[in-house]
Amino acid sequence: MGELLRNLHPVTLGKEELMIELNAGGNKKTGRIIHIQNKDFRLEMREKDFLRLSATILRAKSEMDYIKSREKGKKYGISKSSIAAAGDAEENVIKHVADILDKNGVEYRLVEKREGLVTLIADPKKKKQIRKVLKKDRKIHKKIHPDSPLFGYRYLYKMEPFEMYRLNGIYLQIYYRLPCLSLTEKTWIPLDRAIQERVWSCSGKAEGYNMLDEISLYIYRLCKVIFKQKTFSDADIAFFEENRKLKDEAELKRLLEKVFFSYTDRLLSMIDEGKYEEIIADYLAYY
Amino acid sequence: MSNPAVTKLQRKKIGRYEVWLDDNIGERMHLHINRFRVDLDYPEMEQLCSDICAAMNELLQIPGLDISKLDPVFLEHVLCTERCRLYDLKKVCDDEVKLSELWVEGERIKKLDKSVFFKELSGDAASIKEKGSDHIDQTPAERMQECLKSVRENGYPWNEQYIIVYGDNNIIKDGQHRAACLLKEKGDITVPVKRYYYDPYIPQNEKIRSSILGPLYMKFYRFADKTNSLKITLKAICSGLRKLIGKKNLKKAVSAVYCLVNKKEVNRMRTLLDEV
Repeated sequence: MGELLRNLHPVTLGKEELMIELNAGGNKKTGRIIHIQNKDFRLEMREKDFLRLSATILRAKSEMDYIKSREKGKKYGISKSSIAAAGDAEENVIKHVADILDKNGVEYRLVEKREGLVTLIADPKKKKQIRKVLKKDRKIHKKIHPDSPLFGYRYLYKMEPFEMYRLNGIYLQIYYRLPCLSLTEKTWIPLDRAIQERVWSCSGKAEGYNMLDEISLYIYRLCKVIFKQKTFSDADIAFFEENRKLKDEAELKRLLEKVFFSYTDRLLSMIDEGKYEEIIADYLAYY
Repeated sequence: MSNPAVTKLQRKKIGRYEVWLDDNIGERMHLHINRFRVDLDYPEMEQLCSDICAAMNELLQIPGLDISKLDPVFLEHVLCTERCRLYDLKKVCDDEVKLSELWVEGERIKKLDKSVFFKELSGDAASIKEKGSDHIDQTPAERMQECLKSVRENGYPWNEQYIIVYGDNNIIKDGQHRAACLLKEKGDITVPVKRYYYDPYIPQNEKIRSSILGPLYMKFYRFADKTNSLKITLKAICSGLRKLIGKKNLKKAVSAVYCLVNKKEVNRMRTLLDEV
């Protein structure tokens, strides 16, 4: 609709070439109209809106340039780990909870254990049952997780919020899907479906309870370091060095590509070369 | 597939379109217009920006104005905040002004050497917190330091980005930081500026702000702004409580209050989770 006044400039979107046209509006109220179009496609807007859209795109590009230039060459450093290893108290908590979950036929995997904190991932389909059986146990007390939506955290893609319990002075954290903190503030998202499927199709049994398989753990830990900690600690470096052999596994690369996309090869080669100090800045400046 | 490395670069409601752009590390940039999405890699984005600038120049045809030489932050301010004032822009002229003759807008209009920007550079405790920053995750202090660094390394005008004043007055509309850095680094020199002539010439609110009623007007404006934000906060709290209690989820509300009261425990959990 509208009479063509003049062609302003061609614009290329991907492989498509479109023309930005200035048209007379249908009536006085609408004012002049811009068409961004080719023979198959047309986007129509008021002249004023076109100017605003253009300013928004230019501003977004300047934001992008700023972020990338800020990250380039930045060093996130390597920190000294302050995490103490889990002791008997944590082992007892894992065994106690594993026992309860096994008895009720609930699938689970141990993700992490450290002094004062045990993290499990449990079958999301049995969320209600898990809550019920843990509530029944008098030793276990439910707590509000510090990353709960009550504290402003968001869980995207229908991800279930984390849960926190306390047992004999040890905190028990339960995930229902393997998570990753997003770069968007206070936002958790689940890792890709393929990784979630792997969590339940593979497991390593040790010391009487189910553990997360090594590839899933590798991915989880890498995501945690890059997105949450924003620094490699000496303990993290020791972990990745210990698991060097995994780096060449096609399955690890396939799954990492679901998170890091085209950066995956570069990430793996940087881990191989031991450039831990540079990885985070290099990733954030990548485009 | 969910990419955790998504940074929202811009989001706006423009007419009937919801427009947002994200940077997706490892993937391409996404330009969303309502439910329609275009994926662009960096060279494509650069090309798009250059095409857009050319189209804007062709559309506006303002003598002396080249959109590609404008700071995108200022351009967006003019188009989206100042009610699309580029329409009233009649011409852009080059001029030269002594730095000491430039004025800076704020609560009151002040000479450049009395402004918060210059005071901040001179180590005065005057804070420029209220002036905000240009970019995502940039603090006002960082902005100042980056500007100073740019002036030292690249000089002025860098990339043909000039200090902008409106009409024949010398109130800086864009480039307050640059002007303060230049005054600090090079003293009271004469610098090239761009003068934007509008029709009607006097920009919004400027007449009242520069008059004797200016401070009073600004106080009222700030008060109105504060009251508004307080109203919004109260509204959010009330709607949150209504949601919780309305859903007969009183337990949740009680536990939230418990959590707030039991700050120590929450902090202990937070420390455990954040340990590296």
